[in-house]
Amino acid sequence: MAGNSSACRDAPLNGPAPPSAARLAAVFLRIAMLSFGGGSLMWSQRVLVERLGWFSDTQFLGAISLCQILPGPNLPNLAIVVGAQYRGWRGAGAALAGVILVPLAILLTAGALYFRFNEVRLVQAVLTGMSAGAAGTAVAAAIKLAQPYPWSVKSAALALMTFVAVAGFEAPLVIVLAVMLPVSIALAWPRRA
Amino acid sequence: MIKTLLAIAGYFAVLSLLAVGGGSTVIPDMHRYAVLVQGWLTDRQFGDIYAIARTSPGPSTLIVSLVGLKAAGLPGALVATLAMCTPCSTLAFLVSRGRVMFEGRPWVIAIERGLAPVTLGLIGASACVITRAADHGVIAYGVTAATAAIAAFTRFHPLLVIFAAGALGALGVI
Repeated sequence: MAGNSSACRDAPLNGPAPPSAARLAAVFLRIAMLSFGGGSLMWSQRVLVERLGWFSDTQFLGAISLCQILPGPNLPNLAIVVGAQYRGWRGAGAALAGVILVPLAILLTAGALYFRFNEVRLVQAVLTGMSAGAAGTAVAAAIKLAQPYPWSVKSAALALMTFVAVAGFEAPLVIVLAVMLPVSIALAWPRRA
Repeated sequence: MIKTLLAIAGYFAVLSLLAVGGGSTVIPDMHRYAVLVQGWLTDRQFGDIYAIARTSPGPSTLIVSLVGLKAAGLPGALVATLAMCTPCSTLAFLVSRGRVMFEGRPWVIAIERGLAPVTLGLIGASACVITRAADHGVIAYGVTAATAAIAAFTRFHPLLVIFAAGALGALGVI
């Protein structure tokens, strides 16, 4: 694993020349547009591993788990990690711009239209339905993540306490994390065999 | 205006580093701050912009740009997006440069495992807060439950499910 990742840091696996900053931006724009409606991890895997061969499966898993430990949204984090690997801070910036700029322009246009027309009855009616549906997909995401997780009494108690503090008491996230993370990380510390 | 922009910058810059386990874990705190503390949006508007962000391409964290847009127009949107992206991206950049040094260390394993239950609790809370903001009435809750079941247990694309719910809304069912 350690050997693998140092190789992945120094040179791309199959590509003869590292991709340019512009290419990084284009690839990440493509991933962002493909993952319209969700599934950004699946699309990143398809594009970066299967189509471009920039990563092996193991290298990709390593990059993904790094992005999941780091705070912040996963796809922009992945863009930073991949961009930095090939082209340093320029590559990171280009890949991040690829993920964000076009979607931001689209979303701001939609948002401006929404705030302009949200008093119109039909717009209200459609969005009442869509927001109920979008909330359903958020519930589904929670179910799908919770289902395969190897729950124990300890982890269930930690998750429940976090849930109640945030959803029940509307406690600020800073405070919840300041209390819950040290406890949860201490409990997860690997014991020496 | 400047005061609002500073509030946006300060709040989202901190939130950026609190987004453990991805972007959706900060939704409840964003709701608390933007709706309950600052009053930039109503509950219903928060539910609506969540639906708009979900049905647009790109990371759903970009919902911060719509919060900024409502609070302070286009400058607000840009400041919110920059503030949300810069701290965590900088951290990701620095960590990715040095990651070989600490891969497989006990504390890395502990963080990885320790984050999981807290993240799961936050994602559950996120679903709960969004549902409360979006749904007013028994039928809306029914639609959320039905779409949740369809999205979790069938292979329908989530976008189709959201648009179907939108059509029900247009027909005046909800």
